[in-house]
Amino acid sequence: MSVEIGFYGIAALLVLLALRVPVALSMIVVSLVGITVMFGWSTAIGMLSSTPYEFIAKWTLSAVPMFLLMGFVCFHTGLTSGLFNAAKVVFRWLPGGVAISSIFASSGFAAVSGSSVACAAAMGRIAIPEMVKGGYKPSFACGTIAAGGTIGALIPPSILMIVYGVFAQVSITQVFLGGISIGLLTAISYSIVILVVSWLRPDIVPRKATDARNISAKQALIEIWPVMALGLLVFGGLFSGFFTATEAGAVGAAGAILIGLILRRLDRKAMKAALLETLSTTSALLIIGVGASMFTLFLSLSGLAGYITGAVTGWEPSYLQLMLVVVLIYLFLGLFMEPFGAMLVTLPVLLPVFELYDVSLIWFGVLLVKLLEIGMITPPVGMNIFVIKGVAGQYASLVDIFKGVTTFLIADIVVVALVIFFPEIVLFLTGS
Amino acid sequence: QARDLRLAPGVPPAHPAHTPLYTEFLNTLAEESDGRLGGQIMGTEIASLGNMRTAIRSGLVEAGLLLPAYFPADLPNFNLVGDQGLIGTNSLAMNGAVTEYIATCGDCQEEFSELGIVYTSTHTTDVYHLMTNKPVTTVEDLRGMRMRVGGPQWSRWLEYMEGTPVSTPVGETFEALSQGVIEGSIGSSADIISFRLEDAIDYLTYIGLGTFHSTTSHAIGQTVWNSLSPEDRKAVARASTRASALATKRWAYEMPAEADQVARDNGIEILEASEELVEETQRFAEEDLVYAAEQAESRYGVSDATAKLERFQGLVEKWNVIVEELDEDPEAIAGAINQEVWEKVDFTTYGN
Amino acid sequence: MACIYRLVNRASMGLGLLGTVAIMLMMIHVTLDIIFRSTISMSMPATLEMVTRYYLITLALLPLAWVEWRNQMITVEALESLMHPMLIRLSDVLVSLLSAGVYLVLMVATWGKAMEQFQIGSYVMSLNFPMPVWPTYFVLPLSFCLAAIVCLIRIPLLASGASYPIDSQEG
Ligand code: NA
Ligand code: NA
Repeated sequence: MSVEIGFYGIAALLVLLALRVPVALSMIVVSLVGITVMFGWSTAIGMLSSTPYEFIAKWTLSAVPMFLLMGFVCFHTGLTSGLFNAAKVVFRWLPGGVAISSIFASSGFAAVSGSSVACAAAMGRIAIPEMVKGGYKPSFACGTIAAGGTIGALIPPSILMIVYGVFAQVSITQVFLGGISIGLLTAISYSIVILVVSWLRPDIVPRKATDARNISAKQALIEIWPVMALGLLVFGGLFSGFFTATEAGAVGAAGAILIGLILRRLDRKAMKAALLETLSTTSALLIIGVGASMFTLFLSLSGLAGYITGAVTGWEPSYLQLMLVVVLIYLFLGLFMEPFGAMLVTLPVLLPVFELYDVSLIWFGVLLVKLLEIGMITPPVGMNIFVIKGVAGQYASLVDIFKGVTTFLIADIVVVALVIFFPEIVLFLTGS
Repeated sequence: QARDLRLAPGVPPAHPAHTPLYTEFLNTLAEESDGRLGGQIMGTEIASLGNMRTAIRSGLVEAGLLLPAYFPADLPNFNLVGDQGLIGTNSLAMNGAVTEYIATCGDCQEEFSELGIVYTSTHTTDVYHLMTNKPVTTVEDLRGMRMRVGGPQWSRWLEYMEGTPVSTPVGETFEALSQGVIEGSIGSSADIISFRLEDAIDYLTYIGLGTFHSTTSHAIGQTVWNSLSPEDRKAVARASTRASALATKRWAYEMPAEADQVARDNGIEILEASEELVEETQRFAEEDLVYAAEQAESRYGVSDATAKLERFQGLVEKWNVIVEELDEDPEAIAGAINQEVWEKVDFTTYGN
Repeated sequence: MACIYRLVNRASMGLGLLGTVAIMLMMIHVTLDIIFRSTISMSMPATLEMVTRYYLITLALLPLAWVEWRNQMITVEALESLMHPMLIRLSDVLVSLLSAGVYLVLMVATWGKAMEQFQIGSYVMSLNFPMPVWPTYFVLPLSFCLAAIVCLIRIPLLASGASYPIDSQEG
């Protein structure tokens, strides 16, 4: 009987989401009504009275606002352009060199930023005009940056990985380490896409770079030092044991503010913008987490989570069948859902199944973040695409940007397949 | 037709407070109640140690593991004896002493009744030791050491030895140790198994810093309790007592033995505290007893703290003798607790 | 009416600013803890408790009304492009009404909890210091209350399709 309530709950959730009720509130409403039906009003109110506080007051979650702040400060103080110039010194000679440079600059920025949107916005403002001027087809230039931005959530630090780690109760440091390999693999695969396109279609990606500003290696180093110093501070301190991964965000944010002040690039306006963006993002994110933990409670109490686990065991899919289903679920959800919502709505059902299959939850966390990031560049709802439209809208229409990104989606599917067939790609760094 | 209770250990299945504390409770409950009572064990997504208070009071959980240390403002009288970790030298004896003390302590029962929760029994960890990155055998070695402590009494002990206590979240112990953010942890050597500490520590110093016994193994919600017949209430108390004894056997005897083996296999050096450190610890324990009584009265509003602590000490001595006589056999000790405590309790009125 | 909107905008913005103070304090507290312990082997007092129960609770929940006011709650926009503008307006109103209802229930539930924690004077042990935590429980009903007010008060605007002051007070 309860299992039916679970099914009705999921159906109700989908209806509420389609009616544009915020993700967090949809999950809270369904859990509230569902638990009232099963156990009565006072039990439901009891859950409501304690879950928000219990979910939020967690030490590991303090890393979320801190890493967000670090990224937003870097962005608002313009520390990003130096990375791009330095990358160009290295990759200029390649066909499609500017595009490849922007991919690796994104990877560099990823090391000081927690999310892919920040990464795409930062690189988009600098790299797209330059690529268009250099003869790239605008839609492809925009697509490159939209895709390159996803690396921001793969290479640590990553807010998605932190929230996953808190929810799945696995070591965030380990998930971070796995993220390094998948992030670099993604960067390399995107570069290959650019090389191939430049070889097949020189009208889209010029084979010879026309770099207007021919800077020297020395100048590049001067421009890149602030970001390198920050990366050194965060990762150096982390690996030499001055602080833990959770504390690293606070150090990174303090470091970014300090560097911004030293360079005289952080004025009151930039600081205020960075703080307010951190605040709204953290708040919107954590309230979804609250909703998701209530929804988990509801699904678990209804017995549906156990029922689905049982059904999967009964069906006995092979590892590959299971993974195919999982990939399809997330690619589908990614079409129209925002990554945190998609992750937190599905984990309550999927995690017990994975535990059954003895799948490494660290490995899965890394794969999950990759799958969710694909959703950031697929239509109709692709946050990275919207961001690019926002910062470089004069170069391409929304539809053109979605078209420009399709070639990179092929590379993404290849990366996902590689990670599923060769889990060691992710796991060798984590040592598990 | 058995009545199924919703049970919540608040910890994952591998933890001794889940298996056997809840698995055995379930088995014994069916036996003791002649099949009238059963149950279903729920996961940590439904109730964790942090929200157990609300989970039980709201009726979501009908029997759950409640740690008074998490809710100090609710249970100051329980914490008076709960915070006296250094008194414990034998874990099974502490089960008996705490269970007898709480069951017969009027102020404690009043606090539980206010909370809407009924106390049944207590289980105890092994005696705490030092797990460190640097060798520690003397008072001198402890000076300036940054160590994780799991409760106020160990914090006071480390400060007495001029070390620096740190309150690291338990799940972060491994990372904090391997990062060198802390130099050691004061705790159950079973933590080596539970949190994979063997890769993060180099030394295990056996010292004997008392037990953690601030637990209510199966805290029963008032509504459920009121609906149970006196026979069924007694069945719950007896089942809880037996499960607590078995959990203590697992936590305080089997797991430390396994941890010792894991430590040796991983090249962790096993040390013994010097005589001087042991003596200094005893001196601290005596001073701390006076301090704890003062604090309880002035800070937390507990009356007659000195007399209460004396009674508790007497019970600890009594149960140390009983447990030795029973050769530390958990089943026999559960029987003794039933005899000494629950047989003398009137279940028509207890917990009402 | 315009006056009320300005007031709501101010109030939600004010709570949001308290959130930014919490962010800065968290960053400074954690960083100082790291610096002190690695130089003079001393810890900042109550880092764990201040970060989780004071700063994090404040910065995550107090800005809720402000996030609602700026329409920054995360939603699924899949069907939006298929919907007629009138239908979108209708759904905006209904969603705002439902949101207000949910926030009110949350407010009542967490208010009860806060009063209970206040009455027992709840605290946690930070090493050997009993650190009061009951004040933090009042952040929740306050945040949910203001979020509910924002959701209710914007309904006439949403119904008429008018834009309302979001960024006017910023910068
Ligand atoms: Na990143
Ligand atoms: Na998408």
